[in-house]
Amino acid sequence: MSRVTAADDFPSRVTANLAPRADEIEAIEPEADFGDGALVLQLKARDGKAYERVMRELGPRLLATAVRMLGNEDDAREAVQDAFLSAFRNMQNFDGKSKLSTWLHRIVINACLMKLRTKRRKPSVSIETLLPRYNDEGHMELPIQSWRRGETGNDDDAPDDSLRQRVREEIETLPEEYRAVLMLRDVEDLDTAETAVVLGVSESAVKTRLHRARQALRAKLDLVVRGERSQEGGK
Amino acid sequence: MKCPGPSCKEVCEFLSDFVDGQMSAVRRLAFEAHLKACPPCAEYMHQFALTIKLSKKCCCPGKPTLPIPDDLIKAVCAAMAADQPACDVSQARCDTTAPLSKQQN
Repeated sequence: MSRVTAADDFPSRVTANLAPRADEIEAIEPEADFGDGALVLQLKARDGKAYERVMRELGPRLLATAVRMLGNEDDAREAVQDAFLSAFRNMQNFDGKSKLSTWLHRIVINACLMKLRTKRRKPSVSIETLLPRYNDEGHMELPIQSWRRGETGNDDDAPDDSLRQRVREEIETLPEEYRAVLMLRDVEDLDTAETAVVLGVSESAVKTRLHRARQALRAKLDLVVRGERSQEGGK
Repeated sequence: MKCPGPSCKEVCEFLSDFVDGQMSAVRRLAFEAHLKACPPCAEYMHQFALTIKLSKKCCCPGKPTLPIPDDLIKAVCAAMAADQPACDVSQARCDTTAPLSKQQN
């Protein structure tokens, strides 16, 4: 692992407040808490055993989230480490209106987004060519070719490894502003309001980006499916 | 071909609202009538919905968790101990070698 060090080695950005503010928490998670009370008090009292308990019990799921967001385990571990530090340092901001696990999930997502902003400075690519086009009468310009039942795992079975890999790769190629919204809404199950808070954009922007991201991904998967067919036809 | 209700463009542009259930009942009925009468839009809707399903399925494999490395836990605990206000610093230390159940006793 590239960066697990003593306390004085932590860069200053780690001390950045990744935790949502109290008003943001209220905005994104109005549900009542479910019995985290004693543990939260221990965390607020800076109890080391409580830190460890939280990291051991909630960490694995949070690390899996970070891997999905960032695409590799090294970056994910760093993001989770940053997130735990930020959360523990800002426990006073946790008012118990959300579950502790939900609050930490948001902080991990914030940490991942911060890492993405610093690492992925690739220029944004237009997705216009991946969106449907229409003629003057409002019909689609290009015919839609059907996806054969079963070839994209369109039943309730889990997709095979090959399809899973291809879909992940296609999601990775989406421009970041679209990929982030798609990951938060369709994979991490945040709602529109939560996604807007996390990304610092309007709900309207989230809805627009999500729709375009889904359209673009559909077009990318369509190319994958039809590309496979062409190869099959050439055999 | 004249499709009923909204145009194909309108249907495709508002498919997310349709799929996410964020559409009024009246508008939804109009969309459904269009989809029933327009095979290209119905196929597009099918692929669109499947794309959403695949995003979730393919990014969330069967094992949704990964072990947290001990060195990560140690590093966070060490950092928090270093942050500790001038009270009992030993409270912030943790023994990452002991099983959690033992520590809680």
